[in-house]
Amino acid sequence: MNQSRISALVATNVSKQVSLPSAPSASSDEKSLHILNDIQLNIQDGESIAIVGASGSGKSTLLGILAGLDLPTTGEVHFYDKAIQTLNEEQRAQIRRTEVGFIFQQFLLVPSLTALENVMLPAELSDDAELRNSAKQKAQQWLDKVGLSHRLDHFPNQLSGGEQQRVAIARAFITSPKLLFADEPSANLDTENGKLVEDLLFELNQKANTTLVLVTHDLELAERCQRKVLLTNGHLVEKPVVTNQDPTDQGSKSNAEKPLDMQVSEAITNAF
Amino acid sequence: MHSNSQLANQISKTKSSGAFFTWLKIAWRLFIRELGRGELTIIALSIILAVSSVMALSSVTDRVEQGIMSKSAAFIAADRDLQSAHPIDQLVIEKAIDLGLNTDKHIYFSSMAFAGDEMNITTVKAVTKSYPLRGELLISQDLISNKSTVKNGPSQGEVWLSKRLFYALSLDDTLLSSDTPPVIEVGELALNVTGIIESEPDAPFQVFDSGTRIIMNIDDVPATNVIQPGSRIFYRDLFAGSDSSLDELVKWLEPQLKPNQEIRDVKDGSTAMSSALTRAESFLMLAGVLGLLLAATAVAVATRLYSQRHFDSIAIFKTLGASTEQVRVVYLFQLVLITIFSVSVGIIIGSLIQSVAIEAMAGQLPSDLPPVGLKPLLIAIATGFVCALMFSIPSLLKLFSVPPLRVLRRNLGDNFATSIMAKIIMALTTVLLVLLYSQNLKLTGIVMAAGVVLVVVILLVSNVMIRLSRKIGTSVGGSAIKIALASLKRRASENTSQLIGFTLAIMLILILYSLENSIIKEWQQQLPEGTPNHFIINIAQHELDQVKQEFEQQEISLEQFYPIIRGRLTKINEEVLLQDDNNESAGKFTEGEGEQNREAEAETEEEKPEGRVGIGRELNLTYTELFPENNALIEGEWMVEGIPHQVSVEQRVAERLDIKLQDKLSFLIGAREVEVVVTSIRDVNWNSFQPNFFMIFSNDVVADFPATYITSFYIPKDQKLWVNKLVKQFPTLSVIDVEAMVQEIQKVIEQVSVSITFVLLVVVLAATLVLLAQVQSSLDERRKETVIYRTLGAKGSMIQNAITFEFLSLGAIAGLIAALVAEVSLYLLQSQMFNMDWVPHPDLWLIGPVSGAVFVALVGTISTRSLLKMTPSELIRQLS
Repeated sequence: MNQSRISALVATNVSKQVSLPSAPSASSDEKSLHILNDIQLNIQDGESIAIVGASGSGKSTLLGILAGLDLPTTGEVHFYDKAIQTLNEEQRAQIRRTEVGFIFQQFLLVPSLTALENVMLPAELSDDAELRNSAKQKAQQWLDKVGLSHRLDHFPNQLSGGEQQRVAIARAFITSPKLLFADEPSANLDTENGKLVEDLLFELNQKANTTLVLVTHDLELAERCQRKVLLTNGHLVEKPVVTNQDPTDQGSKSNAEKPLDMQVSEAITNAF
Repeated sequence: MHSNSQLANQISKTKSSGAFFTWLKIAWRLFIRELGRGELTIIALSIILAVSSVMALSSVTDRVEQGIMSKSAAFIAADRDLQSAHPIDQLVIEKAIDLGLNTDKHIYFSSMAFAGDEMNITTVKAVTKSYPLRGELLISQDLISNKSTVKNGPSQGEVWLSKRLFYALSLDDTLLSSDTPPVIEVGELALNVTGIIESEPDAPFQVFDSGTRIIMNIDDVPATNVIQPGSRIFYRDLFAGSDSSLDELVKWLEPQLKPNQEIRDVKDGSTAMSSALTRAESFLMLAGVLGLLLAATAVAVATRLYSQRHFDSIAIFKTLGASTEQVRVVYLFQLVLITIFSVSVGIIIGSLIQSVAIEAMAGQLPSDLPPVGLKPLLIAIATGFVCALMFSIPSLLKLFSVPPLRVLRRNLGDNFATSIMAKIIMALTTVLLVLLYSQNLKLTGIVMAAGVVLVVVILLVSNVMIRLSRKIGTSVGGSAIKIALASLKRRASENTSQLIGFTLAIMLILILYSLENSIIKEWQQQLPEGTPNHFIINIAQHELDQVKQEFEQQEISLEQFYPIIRGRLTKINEEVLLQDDNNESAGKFTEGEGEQNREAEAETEEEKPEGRVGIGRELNLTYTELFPENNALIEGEWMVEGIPHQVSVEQRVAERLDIKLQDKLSFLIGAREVEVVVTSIRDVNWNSFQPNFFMIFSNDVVADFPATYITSFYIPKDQKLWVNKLVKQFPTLSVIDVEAMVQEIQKVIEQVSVSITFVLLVVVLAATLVLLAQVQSSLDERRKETVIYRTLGAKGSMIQNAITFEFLSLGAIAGLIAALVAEVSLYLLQSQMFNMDWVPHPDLWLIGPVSGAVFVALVGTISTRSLLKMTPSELIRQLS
């Protein structure tokens, strides 16, 4: 890995616990649930990374923390040198507005706005006057890039799942974010549409040279990222993938030698 | 950290006007889109309802009230008057004219009227040309045809006579409109008789007056030379005009009032008219307030639904980096747009409703209704904005606090509790609205007390019921019932708020329904069909049997005959009463309201320190062993056997003179002093159009005194001429026709009843919308459940039954609580606001639960029917 590149996102000793309101007799330790334990992660600028794990492994929690939607219980997250946990909600929102894009499993378009208006939204919320003023034009361009120039005035419920996700992709790119978070972007789509969306995502990402953090349980999709980490029982295991271009990369823990898909299937088995 | 200051800079940059404008643009876009897609329907509807019902209610009640007030103002022929036993300073009239009021001046006195050889004692009313300021004066030119014309006061040299006087003076009515009209002399002045008084708005209703009356011009009075020092004269200044000027005049007058001067308005006193009006006013105000509360509830429910439906959008906004400020601006502005839109539509609909209502009630309403004022419009607009903004605060606060993380954890924020602060804001707003609308502390207090009772009872009951349903649920068979009970239990907290909405709606209807019932019933009881419309007085002892026979032949039923003896109350328990002669003049000539409680009212309330002041004039005493109809025994026993010389005293006189049971009263009757013991105290219904008395003796006291008799009777219009025959046959009899007055009162009551029923209708509509909004707000949740049940293969009919059963039981519970709280509120309202006697309302306890169950089940089932028509896949698509 190129050490001269700057870090886009660094997580140091990140843990997340949630307290359980029930079981009054339990000790304080038992009362809380450890979702993430001592996570270390360094994501380089321009890198694409997949966080892989079974459901319930804490993937979404980690994504939330990395994206500044949530705060870790302990530990630190630095976003291009800014310590996210020291910022207030307004300041974190400001970062999201200017430098982060999102793509979700459930698409999460505003149901009462048209495709065009949904894509315009982040630009209009922007602090950059130029971007605000060119919001419509830019949105049209991006919708064109995702192949939806004929669907500008359709509401989300008039679009298919694949189309909705393409609108979401256009929305994510319109502010030219430095970092893009994608949470199971194709999980709600059929194979064909899923593939289409994935292709689009990677293609645009490459063109824009955006740092991509992808959360998925889909190993095939994970394979398309430059780097993969496995989240299992709240622990992060960084693992060179079998088909890795760089087999010498480190990966020291006990099951380091196992291929990633085996680890995932184990993790999934454990989860049940 | 350097980045923080950079951030601060950037954030402050966003506050530039360009950015702000963009946010407003987003809000506008959201508003247009959501409005077009029907997502704002419920919230818009509820604001529209709030505005249109408040607008319709307040403009209709305003107009009806104004109409009725001006109509009833006719009863004193003015809006206000100043009565005095002394001449009134000219300054008063000047001040009134300065204030832009119309004025009139009356002098009342007794005099002999001469026409050739005939003469008769007569009551003179001297008026200005502007008489009457309110109401109609009808003057006819002959005795038979009943053709009359509307007139203002007579010119100088002119005089109009009552029919009785016309007959008594044996004048020729064919000469009335001729060039040589009949002439009568009043004192030293000769006046031309140019008309017969057919109807005066402020006709006196004095049973003990002879009914021989004249109306002349006030400027002719000096020339009569009748008024001498020591004459008994009664003066009246009359005013009409705008409320504000009238209030100002009264404020100016009050501090300088002399003893024996009194300012009156239409609502003073306890006449049938005034109490009907006060009741109607209170009722309309209460209905308005309840309508307002319902509308506010609808808005609160609808904004909650609105907020629930926007949780995701807010989370998306925040995830995309919208600041709290941006979110607030966008959504508050959207709310403002919704409010402006809904208020405008509400005003249009409200004015339509009110004009349709006025049109529909045209037959029952006064023809000369004043135009709609600005007030209802302003109240409606204010209500719309206050309701929409204040009642949506709790929901909006919740909405604004939805964390962006909701995009990942989908139910985050669902269960945020409404903050105590928000609840306090809502409660305060409600109090403020009610206070502003009613401007009545008592009513506000009652509404608040009822509100507290309502909430406490509901929290208790819903807790118990839901626990109970859990127990029953496990033991009862039938899957529909099981699902319904499970569903009730699961949505416990939501159901509690639903229950509050349902209960409130049902309760308010119950309250208004009962009040409407009892008010209208009481009015009808007060003046039922066949209420006596004539009084007959001065029946001599020897004529009694003959008169009775005449009536029997004519098949007209008579009320009881009461003998009348004049006497003066001199002592109470040997304490000699002061006789204040000034009281007398005020008492004797007070004219106007047309009720026989004149005597009671005109007495001064003051008690002089030296001792009790007597009634100040001769009273009409009677004796009977028969308890008079329309009286109620308050204390003691009616004519106790074995006690000689008893008297029964009217309650208000007893109170004023501090007369207790067993007190000994002395009366001077003729030259003889009579001592009687008080054995009962009666409440007298002075509005009953029957002879009423302050003092009723037992037969043994005054039976040997010479007496004349009085009675009242009802005679249909077409038999009226018979009365003239009767009077010819018994020339000493006096017949007083009060038909016009009874009809006026009945008409006003009818008008008020109609408007009250209309108001009830509007409130029922409002309540229905609250129910609808309430059901709508649970629809999303129900959709999810229906999907699960349908996917698992549940039959549509079973789900339908479950929903129906759930609503049935919710409605029944709500109805039961509503009945309970309505009963409490009715107790407070009837005893505190309406001066009515509270009686339990057993019907409510049946009507409440039954109508509640049916009403809620109907509304609920109909509005959820669409869920069952959809296939599970359609439902799922709607969910996502």
